[in-house]
Amino acid sequence: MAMPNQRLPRCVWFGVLLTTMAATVIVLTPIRQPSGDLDVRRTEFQTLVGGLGFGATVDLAHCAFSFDPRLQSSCDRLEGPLAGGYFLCPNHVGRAIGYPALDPTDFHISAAAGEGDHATMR
Amino acid sequence: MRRCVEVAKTGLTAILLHPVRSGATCCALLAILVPYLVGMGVAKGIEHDAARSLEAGGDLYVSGSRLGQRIPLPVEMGPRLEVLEGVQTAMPRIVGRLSLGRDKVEVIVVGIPAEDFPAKVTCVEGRLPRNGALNEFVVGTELARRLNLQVGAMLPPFYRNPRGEHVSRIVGIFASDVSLWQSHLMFGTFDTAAEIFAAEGMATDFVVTCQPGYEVAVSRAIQNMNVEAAPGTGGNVRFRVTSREQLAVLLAGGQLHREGIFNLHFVLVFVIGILVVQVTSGLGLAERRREIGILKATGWQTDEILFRGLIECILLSVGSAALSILVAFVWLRWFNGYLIAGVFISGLARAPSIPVPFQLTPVPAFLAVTLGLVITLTGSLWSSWRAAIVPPGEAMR
Repeated sequence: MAMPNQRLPRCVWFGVLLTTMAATVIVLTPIRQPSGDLDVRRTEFQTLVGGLGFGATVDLAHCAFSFDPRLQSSCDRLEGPLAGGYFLCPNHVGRAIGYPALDPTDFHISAAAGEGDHATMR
Repeated sequence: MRRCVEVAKTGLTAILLHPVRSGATCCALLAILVPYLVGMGVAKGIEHDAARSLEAGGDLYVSGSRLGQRIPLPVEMGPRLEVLEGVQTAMPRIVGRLSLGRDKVEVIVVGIPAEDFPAKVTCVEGRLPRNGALNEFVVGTELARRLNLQVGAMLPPFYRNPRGEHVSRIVGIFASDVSLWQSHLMFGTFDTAAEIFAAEGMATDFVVTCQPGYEVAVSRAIQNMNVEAAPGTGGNVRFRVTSREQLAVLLAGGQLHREGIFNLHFVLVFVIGILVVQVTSGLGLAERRREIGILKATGWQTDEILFRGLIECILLSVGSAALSILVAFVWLRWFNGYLIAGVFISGLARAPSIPVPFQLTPVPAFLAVTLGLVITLTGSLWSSWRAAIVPPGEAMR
């Protein structure tokens, strides 16, 4: 069996190897771990405002629910029974993070043996 | 084994033999994988920040509703909540929305009682607001940028209150790296926020902290409170209690939901990707057929030809995925998600003024390699097989 030319330029090998190694290092190394000071500042901010912010939006323009479900338990524009109704709210179209509506009735109480009460989601 | 290695080496050579086809395939994969990796990275970053928001917040959030709509609660509810067994503190809070300036910049006004402020904070450049003749605020970085506000800047009255309006002074700006959600914030004392919204004596919600183990009992007690416990609300009020645990469950559920959203995106991208790669392979089909015909004529078997194509695809997909990770990292880290961060985080400017939270993790990277491989195989393996099963003479024609 005859083989075609197998000589690859070394720079290509080196480039592919370097790229793969760099990508591996990036995904395996935890990045942007906050320093001690930054960690304190971040916690300080959240304590100051009483815990604020949860979703992938920075203002209350379209729905408070996608900003923080503590401010609104569901999105007013979600039309679940309609096909694709979830995406009628601009804050829910392709955003980085999404979560189901918070139903207050889902917060039910069950007694666990010996431990008292626990809050669970149905 | 040696034969397999030799065949695999020719797969590597094939990439350089057709640089245009390889380059086009690589570019198509980059166009698909980079937005995916950026989105997943940003989602992970937000998840971390959300977890911190839960940890540092209260145990329970008490709000009111009437006729199914959320309503503010009277601040007199605070002492009534604090006497419940297991409750440590019940802090009233105002969170409201307004817009400022000619461009109607979105603002989130947050008001907390001044006596609940810590003595000193490091998350603010400047100082914390005080109650006084002037309304004092600490503003978020994006708000400061959009409205050109510095510490010491004055804002003319921007609200209506029957008791009169006051000038406001900016006494601080939040540090840009403390949180994603500080960017549009206007933070003041509870009294100032109540004046802004002309809602004296009312609170959006109560942030309740409990003794360990009392959360559920307190929640049940609050939910059992009824209208007579809420004077001044003018009718039946139902108390809604949101617990930290409930939100923690929501966060875990949100991860699944998030993947659902990405799956939908990825189906679209996947379809486009297959078309792109098929077109790319189709363009070089005559050349590929001739090449395969020559290989068959020199004694290659069909499985060897397919193995050669497989190695070519694996290398292309691994290389493209690795390059995608590098591009995503550089885009988020050094360009701070310019243009793309606004796609995944609503309300963010084209060039975000806050550090976009992100973390690239192994699972999305592995998925990127796998899906890249599926796309390239779908595009090229079928055409290779079709060319390999015909007689060499016909393939070379």
